[in-house]
Amino acid sequence: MFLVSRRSGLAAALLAGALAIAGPAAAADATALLKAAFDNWRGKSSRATIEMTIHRPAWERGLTMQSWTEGDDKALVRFTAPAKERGNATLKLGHETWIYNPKLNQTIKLPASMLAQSWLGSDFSYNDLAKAEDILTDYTHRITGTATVDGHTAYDIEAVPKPGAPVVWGKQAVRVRDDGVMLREAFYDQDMKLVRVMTTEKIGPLGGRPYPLVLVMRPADEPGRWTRIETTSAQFDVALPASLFTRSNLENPRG
Amino acid sequence: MPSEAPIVSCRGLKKRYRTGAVETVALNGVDLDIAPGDFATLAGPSGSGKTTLLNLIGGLDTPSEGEVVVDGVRLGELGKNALTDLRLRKIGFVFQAYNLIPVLSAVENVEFILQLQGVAPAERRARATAALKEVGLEGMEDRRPGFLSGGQQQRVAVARALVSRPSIVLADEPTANLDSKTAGELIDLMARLNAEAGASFLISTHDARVIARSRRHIELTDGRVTSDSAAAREPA
Amino acid sequence: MGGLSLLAPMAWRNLWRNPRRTWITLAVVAVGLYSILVFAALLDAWARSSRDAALDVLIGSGQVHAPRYLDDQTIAQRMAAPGARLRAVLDGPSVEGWADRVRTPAVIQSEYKTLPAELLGVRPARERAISVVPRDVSAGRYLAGDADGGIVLGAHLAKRLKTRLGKRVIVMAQDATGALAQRSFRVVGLYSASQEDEDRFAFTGIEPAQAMLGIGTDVSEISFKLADDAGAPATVAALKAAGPGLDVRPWTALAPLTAAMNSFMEAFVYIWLWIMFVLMAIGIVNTQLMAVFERVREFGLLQALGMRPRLVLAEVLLESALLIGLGVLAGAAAAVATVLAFSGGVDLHFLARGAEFFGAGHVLYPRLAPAQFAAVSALVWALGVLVALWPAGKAAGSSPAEVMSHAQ
Repeated sequence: MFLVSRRSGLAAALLAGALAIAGPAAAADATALLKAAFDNWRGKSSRATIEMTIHRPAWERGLTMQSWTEGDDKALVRFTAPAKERGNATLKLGHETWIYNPKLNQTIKLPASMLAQSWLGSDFSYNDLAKAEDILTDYTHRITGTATVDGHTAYDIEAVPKPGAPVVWGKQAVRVRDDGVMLREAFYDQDMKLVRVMTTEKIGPLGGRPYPLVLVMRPADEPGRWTRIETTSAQFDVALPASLFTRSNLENPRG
Repeated sequence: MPSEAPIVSCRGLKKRYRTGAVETVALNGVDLDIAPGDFATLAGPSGSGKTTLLNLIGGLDTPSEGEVVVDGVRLGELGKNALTDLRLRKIGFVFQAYNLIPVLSAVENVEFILQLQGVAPAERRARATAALKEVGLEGMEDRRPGFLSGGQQQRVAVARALVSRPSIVLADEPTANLDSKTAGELIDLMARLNAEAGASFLISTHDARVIARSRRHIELTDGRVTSDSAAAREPA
Repeated sequence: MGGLSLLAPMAWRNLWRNPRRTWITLAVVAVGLYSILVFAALLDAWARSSRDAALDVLIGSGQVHAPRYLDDQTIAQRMAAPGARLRAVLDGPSVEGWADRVRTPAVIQSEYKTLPAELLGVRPARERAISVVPRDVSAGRYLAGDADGGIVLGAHLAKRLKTRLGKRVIVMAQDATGALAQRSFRVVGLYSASQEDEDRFAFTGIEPAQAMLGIGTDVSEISFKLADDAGAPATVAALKAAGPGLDVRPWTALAPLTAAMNSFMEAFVYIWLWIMFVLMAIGIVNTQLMAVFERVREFGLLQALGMRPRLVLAEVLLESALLIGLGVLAGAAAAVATVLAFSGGVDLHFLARGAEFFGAGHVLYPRLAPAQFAAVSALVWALGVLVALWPAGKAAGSSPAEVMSHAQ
């Protein structure tokens, strides 16, 4: 989740560090906490290098990618390693997503039927990319508890879909640190059975702020299977050329 | 019954069989008349043409040359069906074997002829039963041929041959498969019926006792009539 | 002719002179005809089952679409709700029932899976008249009305989605503007059909579907079911006249594979009939020829005694006719008994879902078609007698002279 948009967010999160600390003190409003975290994460723009590890009981493989984001509706991810995956790219513009396969030299607009497909074989689906912000708009939120983690206050927030919202989950349980770092996001089915959980396993300074360096997504019922995402470098609020988020750039990268 | 028109008249009868390149002459110019009421035997060595002659007279086969006239009808002018009908109405047959239709009872075998003639069922049964009684088979009407002795079977054949009141009965070695006592009885029977019914009989046979009872005896050798007692008794 | 009063018993008795041979011929004819009839009944049941399975789910006797819908089965190719003229034909006596629908390719998403399907917005009351889906609901309920926002899924699709009654699924589809529309539906019912259909069709009320897709009151198709299939061409013509510019097609055009299967089944019955008949004919000719050859002298005797050749032929034919007729009776009786015994249905569950490969349902209902049974039986009998002409001809051709020359 939030693959694309998140890495940019931390800049904002730390930039707004003082605000963030002031926020919860003022009012422990669940929606505001989540929104603050998302708002903080969405920097104006970002450029990052990310390593993804896909782990299965029998094997494991790694992928490296470059990502660029701008605002909350533009994102481009391009794989750089291994050679087999190099050039595979995903472009998200608003609600539409295109994927480019260099071997086929073909760009397709992601059809609804492919939403459930695994993104490059990981435990993330295209759907996770497309619906990243659903939790803000389609759920109601409430704080169910607080804890102190690493000297920060962490809020446990339960997000329940609004009636009629196009959401499959029964609920989400999110733990957010008072400085805008999301620590955990758990997805429950409609029987309130845990389906999968994403945890932040390493927080470190990046661009001079605390950043969730390592995220791991684990399906609940398949032990020994997970996908790990590590942000190795990132720059925030950089100026990105407008031509970056275009289909022609998706196919023929300039720089 | 003196010299009426003959019931059967054969003129210049020749019959040749061809088997591959070999031609066999079975009859080589036979002239023969059978008078109404004749009780004649036909004898001769094997291959002398006895069976062939009976076949030609009975319309079962056609001559290579010559002509057969039965009761005024020239057989050579008849088609297959007409010939079949002529056999049905004018000729009675008694064969050496395979005389009876195996699936029919004694009375049915006799009735069969009448049915072919189109006689009504009730009359048919009555006449057939009477015919069997005539040959001494009363009480055996419903027996199938398999349950009759050889002599009894030939009696049924005789009854069948006479039931249609034919002009002539042709019998081909009728006693050949019978013991001498039974054979004697069969010949007696035929002789009696000849006298009572007035049908002519032409019987081919080797049996001296049969020949002894005949009123006319014809010898056939190499396809020719070599002796005919009628010629001696009744000069033309 | 002397009539059949002696001929018939004669023929009958001749049959039993060689009982073993007669029984063999009887068995050949009986088994052959039995296999033809039972096979035909099963194939017919199969064809009916596959046809009904295909037609009774959605197709009906025929459908009306926007002109290019069949090439591009999306919401883009829609038409206005049926107007007065179209309704006049659809409500006429030749049409047993009809239903208009919204139909579009969609994706259904659960917590665990996202699967492609077709979303159908239907009018439940109308569907009941033409589709088996409403009554094949195996869990929960069918849709309650045109505005019902619940969804009825195929049981197998629900299983694959790992969802069940009472749970939400998200349906995504392109709306009228081409944008992705999505809506949450609660699963209110599961239906059972062929696995293929269960996986393919999801039903909701027509109004929620129209609202989700932003198409006003437009519909994708009108499916109609005829009171009598024979009236199809007339009704199709009437609908074409009433709906100029619309694409009206009978089921044979909509489901050509099913139609082809249907006629193939019929053809196959006759192919089978001929194969079996050739086998039977060989058996009949063989035994009857043997019977005739054994009785050459007898036929000679019959002719010598004054039986015309044609009558001899008649006698032998009568034997064959009796023999084959007995076999036909036995075979037909056994076939009727078998079909009646299985008229409650032949359960193909043991084939699991393999049977669906051929498009048939799980249970076949063999049906007695008296006209077909009688026709096939009579045909086999007549052909058998025809074949028996050969040995009979041989018998009639035997020379009467045989009797004498073969004597001794």
